[in-house]
Amino acid sequence: MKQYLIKRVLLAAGILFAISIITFFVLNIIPGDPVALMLGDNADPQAIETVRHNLGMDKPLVQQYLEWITGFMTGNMGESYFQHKPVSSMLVTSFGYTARLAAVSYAVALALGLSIGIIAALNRGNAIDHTLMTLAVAGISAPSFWVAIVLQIFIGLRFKAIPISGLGKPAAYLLPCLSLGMRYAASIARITRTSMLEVMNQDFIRTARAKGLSRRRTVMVHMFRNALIPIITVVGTDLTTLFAGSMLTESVFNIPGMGALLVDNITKRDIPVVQGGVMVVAMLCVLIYLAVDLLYAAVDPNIRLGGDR
Amino acid sequence: MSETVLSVEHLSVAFFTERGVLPTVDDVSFTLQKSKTIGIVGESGCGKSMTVNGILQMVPAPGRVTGGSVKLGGEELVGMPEKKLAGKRGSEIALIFQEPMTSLNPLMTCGRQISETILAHKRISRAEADKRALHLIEQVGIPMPEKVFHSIPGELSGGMRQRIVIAMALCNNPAVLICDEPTTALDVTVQAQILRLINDIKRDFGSGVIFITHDMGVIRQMADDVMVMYAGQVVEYVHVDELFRNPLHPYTQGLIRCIPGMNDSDGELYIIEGSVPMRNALPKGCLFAPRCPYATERCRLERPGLLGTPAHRVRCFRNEDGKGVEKT
Ligand SMILES: Nc1ncnc2c1ncn2[C@@H]1O[C@H](COP(=O)(O)OP(=O)(O)OP(=O)(O)O)[C@@H](O)[C@H]1O
Ligand SMILES: [Mg+2]
Repeated sequence: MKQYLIKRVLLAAGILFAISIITFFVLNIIPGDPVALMLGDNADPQAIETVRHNLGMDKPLVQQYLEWITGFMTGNMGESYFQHKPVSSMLVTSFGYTARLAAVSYAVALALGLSIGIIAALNRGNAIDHTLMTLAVAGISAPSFWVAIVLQIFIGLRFKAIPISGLGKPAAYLLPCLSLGMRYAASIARITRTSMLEVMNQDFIRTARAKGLSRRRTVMVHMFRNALIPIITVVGTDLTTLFAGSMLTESVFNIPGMGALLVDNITKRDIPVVQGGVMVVAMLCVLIYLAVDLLYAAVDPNIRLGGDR
Repeated sequence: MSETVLSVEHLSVAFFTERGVLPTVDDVSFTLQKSKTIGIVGESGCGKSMTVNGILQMVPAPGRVTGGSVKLGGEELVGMPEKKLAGKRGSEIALIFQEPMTSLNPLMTCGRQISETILAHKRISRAEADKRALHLIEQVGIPMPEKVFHSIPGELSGGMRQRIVIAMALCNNPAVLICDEPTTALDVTVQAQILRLINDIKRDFGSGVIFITHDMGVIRQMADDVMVMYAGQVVEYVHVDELFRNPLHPYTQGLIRCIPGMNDSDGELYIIEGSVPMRNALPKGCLFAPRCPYATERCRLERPGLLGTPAHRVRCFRNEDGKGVEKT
């Protein structure tokens, strides 16, 4: 297990390193000069040259990269070209919004999705199952920004206590978290149902029943725990997309999160901000996948044993 | 003297499918005494496991018990509320499964799987239940019980897993122990050990045992009375000694001739031609008629009831007069 962990961590570091190189060179190669944008269309070439020099943009790319990566390793992600603020503090602010939105939305999604999935599986084939699964399909198909706008119109505009923009008051979480959460709840519900159904037909569930265990214990301890592995996979993937910022939802509700930050600064070619943002998101994704792997092993001891599952 | 622990009367199970109602267990009756073993034999698919499910009220949908009665210690199980049934299962009536590889929860330690069964039925502390589970693991002949207690099924061999399943079935001293092909999936030496263990249990705990197998050799070793099933029906029901001395139903005769070493002369393995009929295409007459070497016109048109004497029941017209039919 320890060896496995070390291997995973090394692999993760390698992936991050590769991502940093790719983003850096792609950002610097794509057309569009931030300095030209900064100084306007008919700027003096001499002035452009000076600014480029001040920003260190006239150095060879490889040298720029090396300077950037050493800075990054020591916690210095550079400064924004346009706002003259440290990139790290901008990221902390934006990521704070995205993380809060993601955490609350996903808590909602998990609570809804798991219960709907379990209830549907236990009612397989009857009206309850059909209703819940129809809702789930609707939830997956409806784009969450559309749901967001619908919620704003039908709830936000009607109840003044519920803000439709920002994340200032606790009540402000309601609409964005519902619109984001519903989409994820739907996919969690579907995978939970499928996975539960698969487990339900297995012999050891019959054993649990033949042992005289209560229905509750059979479902939660024997079925659900065995159904967890595919659910964890989906949760991991969901979380990575959530933390990258749900751009559309953030923009509908005017929340200055990661999505907004990245999009703004890509258009402006504010390379240090984009580079820092991409790295933070990549690190988080790698961490989530690592956590998912550890969770697999925690849930299923057969994986630790290199066993037969 | 002899104490009836389980009596099954006219038990029927059917599956309600799109292709119609499929009778799977048809009018099965027997009584089980304390410390006795009833063997159930028959080919794959003849409804042995469904009989067990019917007894435990655990027939999977779309099937259900369609009639009859199952009395456990005098209490009727058919129609009993699920909560109350759960109180009986695993305590008064316990089940050992066909498949030791899949009948244990792969994520839970063996010790926990046993102690949770105890805790489901007894108001004792977790520590006490664990202690009792450990003792049971030792009792079923597992070496290094502490280690096995903390092992998950994936770490154990098939034979060891089956011992865990047996320990689990025993943990509340059941009056009735049902063994559904407990050794089919195990190799021969392990099989012998498990069979001995089940016989020891019967002696020590005084449980009545229902022993299911399709192996006539094993039946001979284990059973007191034997019920031969074919396509959901009991075709012969008699004491084991009599069954081997004087099998009356052509199907039973075929099964006995199938035992290796019981062949007539030429040493070639005997096989019963044909196969068990599909439940949606049952013959009009005797269910065995299409495969029976003695079938007459009457057999093909009319279904025989369970005939013969109370001590030796046979579902065959050739035995209508109540006397034995000479083996031909
Ligand atoms: N879902 C189902 N729908 C219809 N019929 C079913 C269904 N499940 C089981 N059956 C019927 O039950 C029969 C199987 O009975 P059972 O499992 O009791 O056989 P068995 O005697 O235990 O065989 P084996 O030796 O293979 O364990 C099948 O022949 C089939 O007709
Ligand atoms: Mg069976």
